[in-house]
Amino acid sequence: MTFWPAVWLVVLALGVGGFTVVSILVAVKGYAEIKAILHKLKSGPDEGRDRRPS
Amino acid sequence: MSLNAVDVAIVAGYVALVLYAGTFARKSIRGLAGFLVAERSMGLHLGLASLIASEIGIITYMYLAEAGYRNGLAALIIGLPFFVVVLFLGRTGFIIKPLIELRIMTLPELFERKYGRGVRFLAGFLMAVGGLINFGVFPGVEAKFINTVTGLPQDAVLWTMIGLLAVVLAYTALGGMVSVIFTNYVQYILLSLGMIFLTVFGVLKLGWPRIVASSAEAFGPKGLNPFAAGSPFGLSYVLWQLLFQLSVLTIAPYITMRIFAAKDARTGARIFAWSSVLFLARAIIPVFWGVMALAYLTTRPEDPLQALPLMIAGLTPKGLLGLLLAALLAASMSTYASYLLSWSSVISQDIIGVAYERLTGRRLGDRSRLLVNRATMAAMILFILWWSFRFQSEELLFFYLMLAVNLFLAGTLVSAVFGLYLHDRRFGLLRGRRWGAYAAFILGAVPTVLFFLPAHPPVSRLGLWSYILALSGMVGGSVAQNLLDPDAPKGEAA
Repeated sequence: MTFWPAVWLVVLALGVGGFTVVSILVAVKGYAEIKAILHKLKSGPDEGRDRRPS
Repeated sequence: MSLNAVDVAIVAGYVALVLYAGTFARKSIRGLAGFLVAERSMGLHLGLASLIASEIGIITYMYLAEAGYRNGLAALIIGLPFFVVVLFLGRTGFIIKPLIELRIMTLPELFERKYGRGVRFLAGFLMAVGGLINFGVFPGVEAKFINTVTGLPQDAVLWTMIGLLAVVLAYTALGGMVSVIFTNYVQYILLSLGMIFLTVFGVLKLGWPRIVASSAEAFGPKGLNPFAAGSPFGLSYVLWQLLFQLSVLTIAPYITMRIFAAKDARTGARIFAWSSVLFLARAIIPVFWGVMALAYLTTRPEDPLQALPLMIAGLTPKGLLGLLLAALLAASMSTYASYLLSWSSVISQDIIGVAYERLTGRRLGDRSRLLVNRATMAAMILFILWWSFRFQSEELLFFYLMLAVNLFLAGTLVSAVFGLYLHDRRFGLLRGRRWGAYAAFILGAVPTVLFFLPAHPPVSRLGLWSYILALSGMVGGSVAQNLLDPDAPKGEAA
């Protein structure tokens, strides 16, 4: 009766822990991507592609 | 009412923020590609936020928590097929990579290129019907949730849902995919905070030993072990779900639109690889909430769907409830926005657009398509409100939702695989052809039609049969056409 609870505890720890880490990454890096999209849309698709930093 | 003034202010502030973020994007939209796929400019992190935010709504929490509440910890097995399939897609780019490289906006466009315009129309029609009867139950179920959590009267809940849909319609119809991406970002941050908070808070409050004990006491060994005798899960369930999730994740329009909006095929595949852990969390966290509700509630609700909102209303301290409700509403609004955009683009591009071209011999211009798209969204809102409050089913909500999309899922998966991978003359008689695609769509839809009959076979069997029938239809139809009509006619790719 201890095997399955241990399995589920590991699955939950991985799931919730991984979710937390990826969510922090998404919050920080997603903001920079929003600014890049706004820049691209304002300058038009072709111009935006040309101006994107390499 | 369970909410205090601070709770109400948080929720109102959130709605205002989302409306502002969505309408702000309108200024940047130029043309259909900007509206539908945001000029294909979405990077990895926004792609992740958008994919997960649109794939989590109150409805997701409700049906997954119901599974946890009715089956105990063993129901956590539900997360496994999601995780495995998403990881596989991220590693291999199966179906996803060729779709991005073809630069299409909706999946039925692929069918027009490979099988001709008639197949595109049929695929679009089945997608629209299946999608709408799936989407159509969301507001009613979610209204029940909000009703229980807030303590608002049922009439007020109806108007709340109409108000929320109006906000979603406003920012989606005005700003298209750009609005959806922006608002999904805000919504993702809120919903992830809410999900992590409720899980950690619940475990600290209830204690792990109590949660385990409640599962074992309520269901015996099958409450912990998904492969125990009498469990509704087991190996056959896992195999079926692997197939089902493979279809949903590669071809459901509300997911593929995110992938088509990615910068390139590599980014599309990376979004999948990274989202494997998010899809695992998306499945197991709500299931676990259902298990927590089993441990928390002393009186069993008559309707198991009510277990989650009852636990949230009882467990969460006032003040935090507003934040949590804003997070849950965020999850739902992003789902509505995404589903509205994807289903309306299927209806406007693949049904109305194709029919117009057929009747007049001319293509609809960009401006007219945008107009048709926005009008379609408004009509969809009216339909789902009507369907939502007249819908009744004795089956599990989880099964209804799966079978509804199964109307097009099996035929679409089989036709996409044959269209992308088995479409040249090397494959001889097995080369995917138009007759095969028609047969795959029609036969694959039959089990969903049977589901609506008063007496029908078990749901898991119907689901599996839709794939077997679709594959048989494709093989049979293609072999027949390759024998009788070996040269590809006009409109069908050779």
